[in-house]
Amino acid sequence: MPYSKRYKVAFFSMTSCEGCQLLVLSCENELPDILTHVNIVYFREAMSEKSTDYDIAFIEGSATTAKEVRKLRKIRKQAKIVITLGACSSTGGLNRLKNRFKIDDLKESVYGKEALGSQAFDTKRVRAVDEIIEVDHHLHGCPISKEEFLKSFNDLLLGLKPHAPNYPVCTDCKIAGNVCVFKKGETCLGPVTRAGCSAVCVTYGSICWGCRGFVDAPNIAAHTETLQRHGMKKEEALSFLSLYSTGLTGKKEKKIVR
Amino acid sequence: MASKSTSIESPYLPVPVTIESVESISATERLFRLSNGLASSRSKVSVKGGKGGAPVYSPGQFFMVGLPGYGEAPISVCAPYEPGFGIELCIRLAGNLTGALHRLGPGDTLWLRGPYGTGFDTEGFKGLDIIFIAGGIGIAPMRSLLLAVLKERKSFGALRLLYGAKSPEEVLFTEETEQWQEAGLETEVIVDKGSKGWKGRVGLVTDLMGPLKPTPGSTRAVVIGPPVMYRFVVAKLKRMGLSETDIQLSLERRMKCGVGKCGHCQINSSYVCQDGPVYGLGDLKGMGEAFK
Amino acid sequence: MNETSPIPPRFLTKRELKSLLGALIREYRAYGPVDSDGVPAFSALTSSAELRFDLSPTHLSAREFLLPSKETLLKFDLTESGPGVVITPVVEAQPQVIIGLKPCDINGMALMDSVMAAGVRDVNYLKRRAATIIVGVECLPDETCFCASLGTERAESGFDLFVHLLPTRGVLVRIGTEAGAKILKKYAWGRKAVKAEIVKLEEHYELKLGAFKARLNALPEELPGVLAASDESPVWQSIGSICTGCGACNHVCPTCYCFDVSDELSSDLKSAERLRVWDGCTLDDFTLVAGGHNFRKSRAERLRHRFNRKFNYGSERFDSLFCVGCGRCSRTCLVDINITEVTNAIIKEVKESRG
Repeated sequence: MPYSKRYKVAFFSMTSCEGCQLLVLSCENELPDILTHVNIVYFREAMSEKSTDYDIAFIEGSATTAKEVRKLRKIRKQAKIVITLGACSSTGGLNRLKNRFKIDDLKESVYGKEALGSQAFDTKRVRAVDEIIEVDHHLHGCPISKEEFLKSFNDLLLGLKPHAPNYPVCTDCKIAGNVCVFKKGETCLGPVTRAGCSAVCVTYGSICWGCRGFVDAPNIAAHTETLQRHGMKKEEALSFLSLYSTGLTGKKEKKIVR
Repeated sequence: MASKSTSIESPYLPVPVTIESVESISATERLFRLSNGLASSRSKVSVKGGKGGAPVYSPGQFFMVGLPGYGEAPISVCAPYEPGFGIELCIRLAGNLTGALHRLGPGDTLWLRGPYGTGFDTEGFKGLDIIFIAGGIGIAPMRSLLLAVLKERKSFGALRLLYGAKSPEEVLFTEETEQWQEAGLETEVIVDKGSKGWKGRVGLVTDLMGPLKPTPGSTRAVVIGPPVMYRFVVAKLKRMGLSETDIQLSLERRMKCGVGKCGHCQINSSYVCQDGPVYGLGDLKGMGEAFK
Repeated sequence: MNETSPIPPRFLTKRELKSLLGALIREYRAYGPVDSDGVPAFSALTSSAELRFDLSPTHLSAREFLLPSKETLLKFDLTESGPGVVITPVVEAQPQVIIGLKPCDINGMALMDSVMAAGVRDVNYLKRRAATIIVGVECLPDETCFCASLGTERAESGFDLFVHLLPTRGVLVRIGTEAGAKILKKYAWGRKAVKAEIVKLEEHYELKLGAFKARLNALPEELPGVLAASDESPVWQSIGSICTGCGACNHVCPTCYCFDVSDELSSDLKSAERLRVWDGCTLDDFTLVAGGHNFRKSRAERLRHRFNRKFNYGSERFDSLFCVGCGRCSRTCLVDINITEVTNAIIKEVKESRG
């Protein structure tokens, strides 16, 4: 088998809850195997050693400060492969809600009036990692899917390009055997959201919040009308649709065909 | 009543074959020559066809080619069956699996199922003039047919190959075209976009069709190329008086099983993996999606 | 699946039926329709009390039990490389019983059987099918059912046993196979049905036929021709524009069988599996090939393909329509693409253009 060489891997964190890193650490059964194939050289949440020599960079979190933007550019210069880890880094995630407000209004309400003129508060509009540097692969989700993370890791070890599905969560939901949430009088974003999560939220009684971002060609207009037919006002529907996503056009995922 | 997991002949079980040689024939294409017969295997496998040798296949047929852990893809044979020789496959780098295949070298193993699909009926071509029209990677399956025809050159009438590629760098089998020419196949190559040093023609493959004067009824035209090519080439052939029975083509589609189950290759009621990839133009009547 | 048995129908009391179903649930892995949060759904059964025969068709069809949503075809042992890789085909078939299949689903399963047995046999499906006992149940249509328009409102074969609930205190059981007869003899043989009871069956069918609200405005044999003439219809564009490409219509359908195949490695890279998972022709990348060409680029084309697969393409290859009128695709579609309404629009257009 043409397995590739021993990669040096680093995990970085920008603005986020660091839950995706925690999920990586929760792969207790698989990590020993993974560590026989790669060296993890930087992982703040798991180890104290630091290294600036790495091949693969996993980046969690979105960029909200000038410092983070500089850090991302530095990572891109060093890493051969950059992979986002979770919604915050892939689409901006929930952090993106910040962009619905004026930065000065936010500064004032959080830090008080005196913060307005000060340079000490480094805060910017929220951006996904690929709005700043080139990203080779996105691991979507809030949090990421453990299975998808492990599979992507295998793909990288084998010299393959990881691949996220380009069909909506409804397909995962049907495969899981779930009753459609709309049939239970609720609403969700399944029909426009990228699958790959095994519809875990619906399986455990919630709805699809769209945390994996849109499929390549989401039919936003049709789903807005569906949400309206199920009792939402148009503004509510659009607000719901943009909860996790980079606007209403969807993000292009490079297509890999096996 | 059946129970549990049993060892059984699965239609999805591939066999291992050793790669004899790999030749890089362009930036994105590699020619794999496989050894004749199976690699000694620890799996319980059986193949139809010749004992120990490669299975018998026709020009235009395909195999499901794969690697354990990477997946499978349909790849057409690139040379005709010859007793005592292994299969030849021309593989374009297009995704993860083909990327992995491209990293293999002589002595490595790849895994096959097949042959599948319809092939070309070379017997039915005997005594006729043949026009081969190939575009891009379509030259690979075409080569299996034209080598088969050249092997029995005297049984056929006038032979002509019109071959279009995107750029001079993407013209495949350049060294062989001279041999084909000598063997009695008039060969013309055209590229969409020339480059320094290219002395040949620039344009579309249809531009080469102008001087053709086919005799309907005693001429066969065979067309293999990218989807966009068929409509124009076929229309031109028809204008030259060729009928549906005079024109044959081979279609590409996504395939996951090769045995008429997975549904991906279906065009109207036809399964390309079973009823194709080689079709007579008449077989495609009413199949609007064939040339999409 | 044996030839239809000549054994005439048997009459079972409600109690006898309960003991038959109870025995099947005890002895086999058993599935049947239950009420799941107000939605009819197939479920693994632990008691016959869970079973509900009075509901609309289940939200998903029963194909999961014969063509699982995810199934291992091959196992690879990668401890050694090259030809040293050991490949083991996986064909798993546990004895199981599906209780409460309606005539539409029984007819749908027969179509799946013919696809999987045609040409190269799909042993994974066929072994599982052979290990499956089908107990059908007669039903009444809801407002979306339209099996009567397709001649699939009755099941004459494709079941081992078929239960008719009589307005009286008992049920009538038709025997479809020898396996079915054996089971009945073993657990609840009842008595031979009398003529008056058999007459009740026909009365039920009359009642059933009168109860359909959704209908196709063409005969089943007209449909392949109608669909074949609909390629340029604006209907495809109009439903294509509202389709989200979610694939739900494919996944709930009892006669959709398309699958994708991909490999999955273990994290120690020492073993892998070749898996098949459900795929659907309405998903955007269904016809995408390496190199980036997509043979059906638009949702309109993909829906046209799906409708043709249900009402046209199968007629040439398998001499049958591939829609059984269960209405599941209409019930599941969030943008209200309704199979009878769309097909009727096509029928109207084609008939008008023919004058």
